[in-house]
Amino acid sequence: MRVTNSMLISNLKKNINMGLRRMERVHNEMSSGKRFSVPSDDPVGVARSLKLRADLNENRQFKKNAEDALSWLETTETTLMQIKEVLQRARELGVQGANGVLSPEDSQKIAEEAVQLRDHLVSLGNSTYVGKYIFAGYKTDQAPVELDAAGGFNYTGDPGQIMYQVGVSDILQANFTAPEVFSPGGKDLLADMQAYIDSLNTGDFGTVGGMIADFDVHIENVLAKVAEVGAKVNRMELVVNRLEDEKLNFNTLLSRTEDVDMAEVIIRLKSEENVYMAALAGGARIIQPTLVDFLR
Amino acid sequence: MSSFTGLNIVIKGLYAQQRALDVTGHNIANVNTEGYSRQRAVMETARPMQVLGGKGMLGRGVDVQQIERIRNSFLDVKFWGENTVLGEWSSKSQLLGDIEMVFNEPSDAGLNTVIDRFFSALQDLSNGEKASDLTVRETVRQTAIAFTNSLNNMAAQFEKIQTDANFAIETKVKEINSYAQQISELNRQIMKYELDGSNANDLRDRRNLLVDKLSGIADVRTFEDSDGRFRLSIGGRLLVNHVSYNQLALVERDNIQVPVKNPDVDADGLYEVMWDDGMGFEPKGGELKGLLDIRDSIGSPGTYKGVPFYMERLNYFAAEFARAINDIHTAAYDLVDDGYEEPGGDKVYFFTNDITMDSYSDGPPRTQNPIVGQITAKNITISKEIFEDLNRIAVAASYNTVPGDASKGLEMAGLRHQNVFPTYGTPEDFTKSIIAALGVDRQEAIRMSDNQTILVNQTDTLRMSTSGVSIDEEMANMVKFQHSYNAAARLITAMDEMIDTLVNRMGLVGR
Repeated sequence: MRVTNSMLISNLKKNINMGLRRMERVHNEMSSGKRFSVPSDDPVGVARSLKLRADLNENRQFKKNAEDALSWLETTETTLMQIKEVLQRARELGVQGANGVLSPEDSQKIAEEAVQLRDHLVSLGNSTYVGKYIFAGYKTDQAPVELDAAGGFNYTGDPGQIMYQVGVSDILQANFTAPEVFSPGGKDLLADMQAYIDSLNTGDFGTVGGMIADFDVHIENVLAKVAEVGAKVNRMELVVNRLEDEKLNFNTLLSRTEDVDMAEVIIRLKSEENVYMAALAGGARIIQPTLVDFLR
Repeated sequence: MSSFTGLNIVIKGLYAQQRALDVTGHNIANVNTEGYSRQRAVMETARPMQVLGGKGMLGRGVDVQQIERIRNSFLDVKFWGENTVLGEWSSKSQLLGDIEMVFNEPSDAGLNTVIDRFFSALQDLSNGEKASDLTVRETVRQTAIAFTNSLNNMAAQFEKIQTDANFAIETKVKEINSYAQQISELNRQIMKYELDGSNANDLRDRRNLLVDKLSGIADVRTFEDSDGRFRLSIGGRLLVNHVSYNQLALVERDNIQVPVKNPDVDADGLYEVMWDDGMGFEPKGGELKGLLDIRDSIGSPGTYKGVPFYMERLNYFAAEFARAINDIHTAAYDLVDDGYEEPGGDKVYFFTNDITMDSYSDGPPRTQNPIVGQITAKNITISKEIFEDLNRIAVAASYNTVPGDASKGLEMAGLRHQNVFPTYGTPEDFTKSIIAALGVDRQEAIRMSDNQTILVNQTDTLRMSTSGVSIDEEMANMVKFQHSYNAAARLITAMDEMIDTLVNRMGLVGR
């Protein structure tokens, strides 16, 4: 084949340009640390990376939900424990009052304390978590526990369930409504309290003694609820752990999909650099001399 | 046979070598001229003279019979064919690159991220006690605005790519028209110069160069008849017919005289390319075809996937996404006490196509304004109600369960995993599949244009191998012709001496 000067030069330019382009591509990978920057670099890889990113985002959201659920559950647990303590104190007072050796003044003092305990129970029933009533079902904006005219329990909330989604199909109900705590099986805690106060006031020690068993029922109920909350806390902690593990997995997969192997890229850059240098050096030799240089 | 016959022979030689040196000089001068093909003086022995008496023929020296250019027209045709394909794919790969930039994936700012954030905010709102929390509602509103804004922005960018392609088409059409004029003018000149049978080498080179350029823009076919009349067609119709030429015209689509190609998708004022007599023009290759494909093709079977395809998909996405959210949202109840119980939901749209329009004509019972049917990526926005009042975001399943109930919100957040888009799947699947398809298409375009670049370069190298000027060769020729010239000159000296001897030195014998 006949070789002409313009052929040599245009081939040289092409080769140098190609070398530069390859170097630029490798350098891009190196400086961004990513295997691809646009879908056409690797359509399959990009699709996978989009999926993994979405999974990661969702994972983050689920973890946040689970943590929110945990703090809701912890508030509930604390409140229930306090209710239990109030009930226990009321029971102790009941044991004291049932002795029948108390003067009317003493039993009235106990009755006064019992009134305080009852009011405390009402305010515990109206506990809030970040400004929302926790025992009110969906009516989170109004106090759910009221005393009716007879001193009994009046619920103004609804049976709404407060839900936390912590997985694609993993939804946790986190709340108890006030009736579940204050009138288990229709047994009205506040009405019992009122009867107890009334009996103390009238010095009806027999009734007071009989009510200790009622308190036991209520304490047992609250304890059962505490246990349920505890179990849910455990479940949420497990969920958080699982989500942490998943996050690690997703991140590993994402890194494997997107990230470059630095050592490999540097070696490739080096070899592209060699090719480029060689093209330049060869070019410098090949385009210089012509016959002109040797004719005298 | 006179004494001067020899001198004549030598002078012919001198002339011929001089002419050959001129051609060499022309070659060297044009070593870097684009499209130049090297020339050669073709020498031939002059008509010999019969020597009387059956003694044979006496040579009468040399003539330059013609100056020819060295060119292989087969390589030209091959080059034009490959260059047409290259033009098409390189403009496609470039424009698809622009489309890729619009999608901006993978990144933390692409459509997918924005959708993710919107769903996350919805889920945040739907979890636990947060249904009435104004800061969380604000997040939902802001992420929704970010979502609609990025759709609006993408639609605007697609429109820009389309109008940019339109501008490029306008430029290319003008180039074609100008080339047609120039080629026909060259045809006229070539015809004139070649009337006496000579070769208009340099003019032909210039015509070839123009066809080279034209072949990148559209598919060219050329034909030269035995009388030297040159015809050139593009898109299957004559552009240049010897000394006359046709022109292409650009007609703005207005749906009155020229129908808009992709209604609901195309930008305004796109040009339809046609012949100036009104016949349709359809290039089968070249940059112009690449540009037209990207600007016009909606990706129906048998056509390319251009900007209209992605716009149409994006519009579909916006409309279906809005419909899915709205279906749930209109049937849910918001925090605003309307003073009466609205059966079947509060009927507030989440997304509409017009932020100034109410979701419903006043009730009770409310009836919805039928505006959501026309939602596109370009006009999607959150509804007026939600824009004005955060409490209008409706997530409760019943009038009675506000404010704590967020079961409808959970349902909306759950759309992330629902097959909202038939045959595509979830919203994420939809965007993912579009982006992957785009990636594959651009990859193909890049591969095609890379391959074609190699083919075009190869063909061009072959052309240069045949037609290019080699300085070494020209130098060698120069020395060769110079020596021949010197030798001929020396012969004249010899002749001169012979005649000198004859004329001046003849002695006076015996005188």
